[in-house]
Amino acid sequence: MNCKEIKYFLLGCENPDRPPADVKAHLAVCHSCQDWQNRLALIEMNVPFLPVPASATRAQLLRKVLIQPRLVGADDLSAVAAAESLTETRVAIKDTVAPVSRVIEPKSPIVLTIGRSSSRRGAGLLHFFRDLEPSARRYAAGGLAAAILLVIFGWMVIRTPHRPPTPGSQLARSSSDPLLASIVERDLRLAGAERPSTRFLALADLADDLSGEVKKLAPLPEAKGVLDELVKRYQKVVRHGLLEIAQELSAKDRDELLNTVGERLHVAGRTADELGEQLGAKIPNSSRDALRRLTKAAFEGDRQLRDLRVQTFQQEPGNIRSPDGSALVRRDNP
Amino acid sequence: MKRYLSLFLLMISLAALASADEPNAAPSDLGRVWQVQRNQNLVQELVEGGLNLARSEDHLQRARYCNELATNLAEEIRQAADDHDGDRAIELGRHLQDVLQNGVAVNLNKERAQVPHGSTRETEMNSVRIQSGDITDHLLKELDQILKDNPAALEQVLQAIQEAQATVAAAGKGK
Repeated sequence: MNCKEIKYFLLGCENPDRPPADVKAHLAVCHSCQDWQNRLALIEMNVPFLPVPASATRAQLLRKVLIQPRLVGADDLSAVAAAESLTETRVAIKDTVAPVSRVIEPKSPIVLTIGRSSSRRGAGLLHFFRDLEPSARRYAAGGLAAAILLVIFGWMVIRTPHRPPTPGSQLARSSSDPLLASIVERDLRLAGAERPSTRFLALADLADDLSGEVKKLAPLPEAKGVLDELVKRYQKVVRHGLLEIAQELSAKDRDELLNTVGERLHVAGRTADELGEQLGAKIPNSSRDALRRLTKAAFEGDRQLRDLRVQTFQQEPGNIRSPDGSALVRRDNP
Repeated sequence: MKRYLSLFLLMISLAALASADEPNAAPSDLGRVWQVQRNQNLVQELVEGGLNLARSEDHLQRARYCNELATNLAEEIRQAADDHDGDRAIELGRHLQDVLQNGVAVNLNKERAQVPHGSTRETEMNSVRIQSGDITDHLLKELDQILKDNPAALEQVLQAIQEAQATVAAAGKGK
């Protein structure tokens, strides 16, 4: 042991003037430690003679301890009964406290069964807190607060509804895809459509489904991967669906349908363009690019449908208009 | 005293938070992206199929195209069952039922009304019907095994497919 360890040991031991043999051996050869031990022993010897300020707290505390009812469990009653062969237990407090005596009997009101009175226990808890040292009270308050927080969070976790995997209850995993359902419905309309006008309108609806989905997903940066595919499908429906079937439309309702669907394409293109402008730098470049391509395809489709209207108009006997179709205006649909 | 007041207020706030009703869980945006991504191939096939159907005026050909759609849907149902996603299997099972009943069977019935018995077209019709039967037969057998851990979903999917199968089997037989 070195000098430092010896000093620590002496500070910690109950009787620094009576150290163990190994410490004694060191002290015998180390004068510095010996002096240190002597001073420590002197301090220790004089501590009991320090003046103590008068206080009644000790007496009050002892009185409280003795007055408070002792909690005895039902199982302890037999033990209490056995102990009560002495009919009376008297506790006398020496010095400052007047003698206090309590009788503990098996059927006495102070023999409480557990859970008897919550208000009394609450009051007891309050007294317990009040009687604590200020520092201990802080720790106890902190511990109590932590326990309450734990209970509240536990309650929240328990209250969070656990959704078993029942139909329609899971998030995207289980909920049906409206786009898919809509496309199936369009396909079945196409499968049963006898007239080109019905197929033309079904394809226009399909195009709207796709452009609508693109516009819905465009603000989400995570959607950049799927937007490209949806726009490709949109382009295909417009270029290889609508424009092809448009050629088959009967003269009777051709102009009306071309006007209607052309207008829908124009609106789809314009809203996609506006959305791209509005979102600006908030979305990835690929998403902006997808919106631009959708706009282009829609405007291109609209332009080609208008060209068809011009051709139709020019082919009708008696109609003489300029080849660019400038006389052709879009009619407002109801 | 201030410390106790703060603690009390904190506890009141937490209690209010705990007792507040949870907002209704609408499908999240990310969930929707994931859903579209998952159905991307199927959407592609259905759009292609739609374009084919739009171009064709032949009922028998339309029935064939619908069989192609049914094949794609059956494959996705199988995949959903493999993933133990009973809800998706039910959703796709209903779409398959629609395609078979309102696509294949309706077109076979229309074709039946136009072709005489014993004609080549009738043989082709039978061929389309057999093809539909094969699609559903294989699927029923496989689902019985794959989806046995989810009997409720299995029952709904099987019911949808069996109803569709019966409709197609009867389609185009009478005149």
